[in-house]
Formats: sequence, structure tokens, C-alpha cells
Amino acid sequence: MHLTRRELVEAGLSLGAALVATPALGGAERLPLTPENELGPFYKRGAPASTNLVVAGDPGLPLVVSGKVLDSSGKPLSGAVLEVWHADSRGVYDLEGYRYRARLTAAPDGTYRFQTLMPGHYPQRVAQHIHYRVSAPGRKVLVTQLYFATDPAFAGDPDHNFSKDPVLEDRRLIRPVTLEDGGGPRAGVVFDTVLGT
Amino acid sequence: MSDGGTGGSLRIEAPARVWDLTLRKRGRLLCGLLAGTRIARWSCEDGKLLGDAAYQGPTLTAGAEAPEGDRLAVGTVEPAVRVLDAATLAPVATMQAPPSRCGDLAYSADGAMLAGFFGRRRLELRVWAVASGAQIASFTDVAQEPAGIAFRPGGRLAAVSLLTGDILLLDLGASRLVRTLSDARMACEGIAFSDDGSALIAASYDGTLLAWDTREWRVRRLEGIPGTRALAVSPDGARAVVTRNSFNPPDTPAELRLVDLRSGRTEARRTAGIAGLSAVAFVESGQARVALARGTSIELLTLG
Repeated sequence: MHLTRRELVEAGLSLGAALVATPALGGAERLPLTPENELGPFYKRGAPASTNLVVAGDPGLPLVVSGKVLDSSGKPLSGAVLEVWHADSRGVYDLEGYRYRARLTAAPDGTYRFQTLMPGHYPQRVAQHIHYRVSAPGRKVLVTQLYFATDPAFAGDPDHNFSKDPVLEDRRLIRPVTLEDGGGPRAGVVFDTVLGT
Repeated sequence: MSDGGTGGSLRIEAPARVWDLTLRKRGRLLCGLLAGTRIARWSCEDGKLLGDAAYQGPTLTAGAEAPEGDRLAVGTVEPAVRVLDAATLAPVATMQAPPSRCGDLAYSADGAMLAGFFGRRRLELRVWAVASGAQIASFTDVAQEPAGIAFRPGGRLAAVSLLTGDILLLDLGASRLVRTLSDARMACEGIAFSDDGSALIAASYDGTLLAWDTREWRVRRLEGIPGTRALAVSPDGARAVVTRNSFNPPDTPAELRLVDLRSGRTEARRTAGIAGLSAVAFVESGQARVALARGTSIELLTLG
């Protein structure tokens, strides 16, 4: 897939976007819990186990999302289950099937990674987003959403504009986006989740 | 899409943008919550406007019309739910409520009970006896979010559907969870008991219509409409009508379907125009009545 410069701009991405480091995890430092966000009406149980959500032939910017699932002491939550779902690049959710829906399992070091296409703007929401439902034994289920700093809805200034989306109550859920351009553009986002008890 | 068993339509122009719609009195009365916190009521027989009054008070966050159309319950950010005379909006009763935003209100089919959901990203349910105004049940689960509620006629059982797809069966007498139904794969915004309480019907967003017998709680899966927003069950429990509004994507025409719950056969179906709101009911003749709204335009249709 090849996107023109104009298509990249329309997708809200720019080459060289900064990647902000994730919090240091050493010692007994307490990490802030990942803010909760609405589950929304489109959660669907029984999503397939998969790390590749890309539907062949669908238009959209390839996106790799990675991160860790941790407790507040920074300990990886091996085996944590992440359910992720989002709209396709047109902003449409698949209700009948499981397109752009998956269930992931965190590795022993707490890491996870999946490939998908950048979500479009669901018309009844302001910002692009990916839904998360993260569960681990003995931990409170985390329901949240991942947002993108390059979303045109934030007009380049997520700090000031995040509240344009009334569902987005916490700026910390907006993550920086990196763009790689080797063999075609591909966006990358790191989203660590910290679960409480 | 082929149509079958569809009747004519009646168009109504509301005096302001329609925010919410309900059909009451077995589909003979149409009630609308309009922009400007106006409450309007129309006859479904001829579309005649029966009343239009503005609510004087805090911004409404939820409203529910009683089954007979004579009372209107309203919720705000105040810790109170008020019951009003539906025609004049004069206050009739006030129920004490939790100190958080009222998200939804619903009457039982006989109008004897009123339920309210409060707060965000949590299930906080209160149920009142309408006659006395006394709270008769409360149920809280901070890890769940509600999608809808149905009261079982003739008893004190309520079914609360959650955004996860689970349906909680609550004993309102004891404010206790009796059973969790985990058969739906997606949230069921439309949920209703049959009049005799022998069946619970729920329309999952994934397009499955689920029918449980309430003795054994065995489920049957029937074909509905993906993204169903409104559901009604016929008085004899034999049929259901479901509607899908125009959303996901928003240029999708609204869709209506009448389903035989015993055979699972679709008796009638049709697409309509673009509609952001819908309401459904069964009328005395056994036909299903559907109200669709977009902006200030309302269309009344019959199926079956």
C-alpha cells in the first residue's frame, strides 16, 4: 500500500512525529493506573485470538500498536487478556462479524503487539480511538480507549483540544504516533496499561 | 429490500427537533421530547397534536412516559426524579434519587414501577413504587454499565441488560441478583418480557434476537437486525418488532422487521428513510406500529 503525502496529511500523520517515552518502571515506584474510559455499545464478546486485525483489501494506514500490561508496581502481568476493537477506516464498526476485533494475551514480560489499520472517525464521536478491555487474575478489569495525538480532531494540540471529544476525559489516553516509511508508510503507537486491584 | 405486510404511513412535523420518541397506549399515543425541553404528544390515528408544553426546570437528562400516557417521569442532574402530569407538566410526585446524573428512566408495563439508572460508567439502579413514591429496590455494580431494562409483568423480577451483553435478572423484592444470562454476544438495548411473563426477548446489536423461556431460561437465537435500537413484543408473546436507526454508517436507511418468535420467520420487513430515532409498539389489531424521526420530521408506519 502506498499513500501520497496528501493522504498522509488527511490521515493526520506527519513524518518524524515524536515518540514520548513510556514511564520508567524500576524499583517500587507506583505507576498511575491507566484512566478508564467508556466501554461503548460495540463491545462484542468472543473475538478471535489474533495479532493481525488487518482485513485484506481494506483501505487505510497500517498501524502497529504495542505496549505492556503492568500492575502499579511495574510488574508485568503475564497472561493478561486484552480485548481490542475499533471502527474501520470509514468509521464503521462490524456488528455481525469480528472485523477489527481481537483477543490478545500478554507475553511473560507483559508485552503485547497487534497490527491493524488506523481507525476512521465514527460519526457519533469526535476522535479516532481503539477500545480496550484488559483483564488479569486478581486485578480490576480495565475498560479504556486509546487515542492518537495526530488525530485531526485535536488540531495539532491535544493538550488543549482533547476535550473536544466529550467522552475523552483524560489527556493521558492520547498517545504519540510515529511514522515509519520503509516499504510504505506505517504508523506506530505504544500504549502501556496499568491495572489496579 | 423486499417489503411484505407493510401498511401506509403518516407524516408529522414536530414544532422543534425531536430528541426522543415513545409510543404509548398500545401504540395509539406518540410522545416526543423536543428541543427546548418541550414535551409534545400526538394521536397516532390522525397525527393530530394533542399537547405541547415546555418543562420549567433543570435540563432534562432522561425522561419516560407512563404506559397509559398520563404521567411523565423526568430526571436531571439533581438528586430527584420527578413525576409530572403528561399533559400539563404539573408536578405529581418527587422521588429521592442518588446525587449523580440520571441516565435513563423506564416504567414497568403496568406503570406501577419506575426504574432509573444513575451515574456514568457504572450500574446504579433505583426502582420506585409509583403509587407511593417509595424506593423498593436498589442495585449497584460499579464495574458494569447498563443498556436497558425490562420488568417481568406480575412479579418483581427485572432484567437489566449490560453493555457487555450480559443480562442480569434482579429480584427487586430483595435487591438481589438472581441469575446472569450470558447468551448475547453484544449489548441488548431492546429488551422486553411477553405480557404473560413467560418469555424474555432481547435484541443484540450483532443482529441476533434472543428468546428465553422464563421457566428454564433456555435460549433460542433468531434472526433480527444488526444495530437494533428498539424492540416490542406482541401481547400474546408470539411476535416481535425491531428497528434499526440510521447509524454505523449514518447514511444507512432505517430498517424495520416483524418476526414470528415461534418459528423465527420474518413476517414483514422494510427499509425507510434516514432516521436517528425510532419507537415501536403493537396496536390492538395485532399490527406493529413504528415511529421514526429525523430532525423535526416524524413518520408513523405499520407492519404486519
